Amino acid sequence: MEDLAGRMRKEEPHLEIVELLPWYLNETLDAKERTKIAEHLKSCAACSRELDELKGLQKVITAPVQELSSETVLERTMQQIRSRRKPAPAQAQQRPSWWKLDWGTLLRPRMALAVGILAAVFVSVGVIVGLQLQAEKRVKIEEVGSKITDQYAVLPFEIYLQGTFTTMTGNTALSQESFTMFFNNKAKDFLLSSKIEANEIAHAGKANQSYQLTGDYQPLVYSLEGPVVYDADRVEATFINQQAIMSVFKSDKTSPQRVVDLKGFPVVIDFSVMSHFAVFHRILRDRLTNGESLETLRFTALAPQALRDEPLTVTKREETALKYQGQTLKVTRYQLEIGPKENILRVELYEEDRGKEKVLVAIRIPMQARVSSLSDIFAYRSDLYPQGLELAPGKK
Amino acid sequence: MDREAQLLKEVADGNEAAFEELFRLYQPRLGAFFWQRTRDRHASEELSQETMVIVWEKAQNFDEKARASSWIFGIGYRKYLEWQRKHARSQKLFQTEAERDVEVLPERPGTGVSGQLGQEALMEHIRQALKELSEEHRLVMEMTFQQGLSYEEISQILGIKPGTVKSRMFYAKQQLKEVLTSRGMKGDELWKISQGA
Repeated sequence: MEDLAGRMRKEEPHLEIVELLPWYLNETLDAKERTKIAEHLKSCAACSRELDELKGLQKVITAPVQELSSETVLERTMQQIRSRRKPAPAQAQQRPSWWKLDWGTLLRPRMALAVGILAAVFVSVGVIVGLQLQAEKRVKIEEVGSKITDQYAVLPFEIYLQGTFTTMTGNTALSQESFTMFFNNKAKDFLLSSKIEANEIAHAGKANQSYQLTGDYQPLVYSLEGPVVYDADRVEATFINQQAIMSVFKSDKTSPQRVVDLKGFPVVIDFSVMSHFAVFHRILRDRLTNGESLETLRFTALAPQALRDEPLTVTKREETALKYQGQTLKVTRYQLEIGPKENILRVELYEEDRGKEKVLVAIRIPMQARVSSLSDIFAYRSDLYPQGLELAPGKK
Repeated sequence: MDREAQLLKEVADGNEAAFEELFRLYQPRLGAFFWQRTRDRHASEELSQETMVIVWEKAQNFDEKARASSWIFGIGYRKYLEWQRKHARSQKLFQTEAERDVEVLPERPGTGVSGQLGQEALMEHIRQALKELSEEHRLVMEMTFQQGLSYEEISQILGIKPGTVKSRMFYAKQQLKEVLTSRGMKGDELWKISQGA
């Protein structure tokens, strides 16, 4: 037979038809394409011949293949999916984390996804430590001695924070970030640095951060607005008087740097450690106790990894309730708004009055455009509420 | 929403019965897909299993606007690529063995080899010739005819443009005929098979 392909190349409309024939044969073309080809075939012997050849090819390719034992594979697969539903082993519970996620419910796909995003959110948007930069106004977080709560140590007039933040998906570490923060009393400045090792794909300057998981990780893709520089070896933020200098260090590129004028606001630093929500809460409490009102309180949220700074305000404080083992737990909810009006990240803090002190017991990040999550994100103090806190129905 | 998309939605909610139904629909197709690629029964079963476990775990990510088959085969294809990376070395050895075993047919100029062969033998020769095509060419052919996927679906799974899928198929077939001719065949074997010769 003459070289049909050779002829086809010279006749472009013909080529279009020939190229579609395989899918005409497997019946996956849309109605328009199908009609066009059927019409063409009526009057074109070359294309009819081509279609016959494809039928031959189809016959060869679809010839019976070795039967696989479906039932055995089905049985094994069912066993595997059932085993993955069992609660995570105890080791997750033993992790010396002050904040714990609700691991028991993680294994439902939907929930696991939410938690994956939760972790991601804390890695990249995650707020918070609050520090007042002006020495005379600097918050005394602890009056006497030091207190170590898992990941941070707070000393009077001196703050030294050090820790590692691990993003977990199920029992698998997805990313690790180690950080240190130090206040140099003599130089009157703070230094924060962190090193990130994450299984993620992000590119400097792009508006969206893509977070992809493979293998046994739960898949998720979320996007965050603003430039993201997350493939760094180390990020640092130094605070001198009213300015913050944020730097991103990369082994192969020039380090980007950004200087932020803090305008006298206390700084809330995004360095990705969940327990810093608690530190922020303390600063909030402290400032409210000192007579400041929610309306006047302003913070600057800094994300050194993203070279980003955003305003943070507390927009609302209200009494509400959480549930613990069917019981109602009275709490105060603070609603935070981070970022510009058109792209706000909303976070809720839940505070419980425990007599001696007011304690942050839970946080919630509702579904919102800025975080592409399929569900709300809710985390609670599992050391205080081992059976799991829940949002009270109708109190969202 | 079609039945398969509906099943995936139920799987996302943790419905085991829906998963079993979806498994029965897809396992034969996945098994064939992996078998074509790996020629290893054990590997094909394992890859089918791994693919369906991912389907179970990630069902909530399925976009209802997409087609279930392209989503599932997309997972299957990535699983196969993982397997291929792991087995690159051993597979090469296996292929060398296989190549040694290929029967060399005597050339009979004028008549052509295919003239002497029955339908089944002819098909076997074409299968042998298919092995000489590049992996990417074979993939498009098999996804079309074995899996019955549309060119848009194949384009999504492989991450290439629909136009590239079409031209790949076009050149794959052209190349197949060249291989057949180089093996002393006449080049009309596919047509003969279609006619039941």
